[in-house]
Amino acid sequence: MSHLEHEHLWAHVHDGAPLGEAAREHLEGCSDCTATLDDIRVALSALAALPPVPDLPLAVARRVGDALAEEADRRAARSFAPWWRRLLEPRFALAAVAAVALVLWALATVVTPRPVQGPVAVLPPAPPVAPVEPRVDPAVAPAPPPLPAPQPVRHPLTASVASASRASVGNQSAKRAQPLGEGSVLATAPGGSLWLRLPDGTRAGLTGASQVTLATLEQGTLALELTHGSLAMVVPHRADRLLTVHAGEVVVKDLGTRFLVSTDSPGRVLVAVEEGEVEVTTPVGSQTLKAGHAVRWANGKVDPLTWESTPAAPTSTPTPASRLHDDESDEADVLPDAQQLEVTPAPAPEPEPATTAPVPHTASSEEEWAQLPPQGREPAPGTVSPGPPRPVPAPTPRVNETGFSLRLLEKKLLEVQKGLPFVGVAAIREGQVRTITHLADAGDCGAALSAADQWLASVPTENRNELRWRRAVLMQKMRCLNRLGRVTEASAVKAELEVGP
Amino acid sequence: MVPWWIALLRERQLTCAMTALLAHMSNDFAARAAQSNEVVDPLRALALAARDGESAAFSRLYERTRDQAWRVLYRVVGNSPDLEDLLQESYIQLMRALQSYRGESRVSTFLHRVCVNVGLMHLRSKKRRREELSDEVPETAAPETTDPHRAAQIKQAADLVQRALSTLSEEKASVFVYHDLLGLKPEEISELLDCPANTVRSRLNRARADFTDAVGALTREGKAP
Repeated sequence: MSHLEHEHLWAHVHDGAPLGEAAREHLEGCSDCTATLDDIRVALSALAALPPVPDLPLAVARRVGDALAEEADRRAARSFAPWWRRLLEPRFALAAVAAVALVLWALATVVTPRPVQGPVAVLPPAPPVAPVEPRVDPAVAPAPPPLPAPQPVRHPLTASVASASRASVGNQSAKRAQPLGEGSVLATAPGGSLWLRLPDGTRAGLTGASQVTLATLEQGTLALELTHGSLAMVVPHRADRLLTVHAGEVVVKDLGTRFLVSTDSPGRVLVAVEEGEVEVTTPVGSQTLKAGHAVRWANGKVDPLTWESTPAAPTSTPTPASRLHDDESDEADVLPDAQQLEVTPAPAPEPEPATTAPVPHTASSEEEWAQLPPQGREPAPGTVSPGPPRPVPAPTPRVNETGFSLRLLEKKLLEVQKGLPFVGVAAIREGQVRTITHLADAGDCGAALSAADQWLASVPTENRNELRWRRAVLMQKMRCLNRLGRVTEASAVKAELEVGP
Repeated sequence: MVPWWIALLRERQLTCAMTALLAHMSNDFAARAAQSNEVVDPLRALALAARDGESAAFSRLYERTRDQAWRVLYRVVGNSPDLEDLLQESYIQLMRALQSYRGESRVSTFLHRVCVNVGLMHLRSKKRRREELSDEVPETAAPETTDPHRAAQIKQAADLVQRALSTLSEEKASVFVYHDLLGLKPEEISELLDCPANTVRSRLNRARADFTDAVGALTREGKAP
């Protein structure tokens, strides 16, 4: 008798299917089939011992969501690039070269005169002909209408609402992920806020009691018109498109930056630059405005203003807050009542070492698209502009994913309008995270570990970024422990990181 | 008495009418099927929007399907520290695949297939790495149980299953994973793999035989922990 079918043996062990008399007899005398039966038992017991699948940890879901959102943005930005740019991609390069060669060959074949075969009749040269003016009677034969000038091809694009609170699009309330076409008018009620996602990856934030129109959304040209209120822009610079913000008589042209435009009447406009630079055009001329500077256009003249910009965060700053959970950013940007503000007892500011100066961005322009702008930051002690003493404790507005808190901007604007130099609100814990990162980057592992332990031992705040900071501190701690050869402790920290919040 | 040619004409007319009726019915069925597809698959609209470049739609799609993707990946690769990367990789592949999505197949089916392929590729790369390093690489994280004996048992079982799975051919491994790890029926697998259910059954038998051989070999070699 031949060996027993594997299928029958599997069904016998798995489902308890009975074996026939002949099969049982064969099994007793056949070592191969017995071994197969034993292997099937081991295999099925291993399969049965597999644990149930646990739920997807929320921290993992968010991290993956962040990464995917960035990837999706990067792809969207790539599709925003002109069509011919794709031909430069490696996969098209060969085809493009072949196509160009073919066209050149075809042109050369058509244009090059061929030698004429056979006898050619030689004609006497034609007598010169005097030019004749065409005589057309306009009454009889009216001149044909001129051909219409070729219209440039328009590629209208769509923007979308990233988050909204007490905001409207036209006459209807704005909804998250709502697509917006050219000409859409967006407005926020007092205390409301709205973040827009433009097709090139730009984020535009509308503070309370503001209105903006998406004037142009075309491939290569994006223009917003601020009617009133304030608009914060986080713009990745791209040479292949022009982004402008119009506010009354002022036009602001992006040169790759984060900036703010505010207007309360067509004749009064404020432009402030947080990072990078913009070109501001007023009826009296143009000027380039760099980070940390602001100008006010009022009464037909441009006045410079003091504007303390928020420096860039180090490149090793932890992953930005989830973009997939815009509910939180909605919440973050709602201008709350005074009692709703999160009150954090402000500890004495720690002297930060010189290394806490902002680290310049080293990312390429392509990466810059994917990276979110840095978070807001408390100015280092010593750089604080003189001003009236601040009450302690101070409220801590939440800075959202773009690095702009609309609430903070509103407060900043209010103080600038009052003529007071703006002093940022304390974000001591975040500053400490940055310090720890810098110490670790600089190789001062002892100091970094000490600061990290101190940070981890301190009482966490209610801030939504707390878990992110904690993760960043743990990562730096693990890095330093590994460098110091304290592998066991590093493994413990790694395990803590893997477990997640 | 009707002349023969009139009878033929009537017969032809009847044939034409029947053909038209059948065509109409088939169109109706197709329309209903398309309609039911839209009703049954709420992810279709999101997938089409994501394909057209709406990153917010892709985020929604991820939010709605991430638990399913996680379950599939966890079943294939076990409690691996690479799960997070694999989840991300699966969705990036889905993002790429959506470029050619025409809204005809179910998105969850699509995702299922992507996740299984990503998981199996990971197992194979791990196998290659193991062969190159020829030492024990910690593959499976410790299971979440307080009983050390049970934890060791689970880890041993998971490692054995994954190692045996990594030896199967792609075709067999897919069928085995769908049926014996994810509990799908042959009819469902036939939809996923776009092949007849009987082919799935015969492929499953061969896959089980190979899996058993691999388990036996690993157990005898003592490589399985």
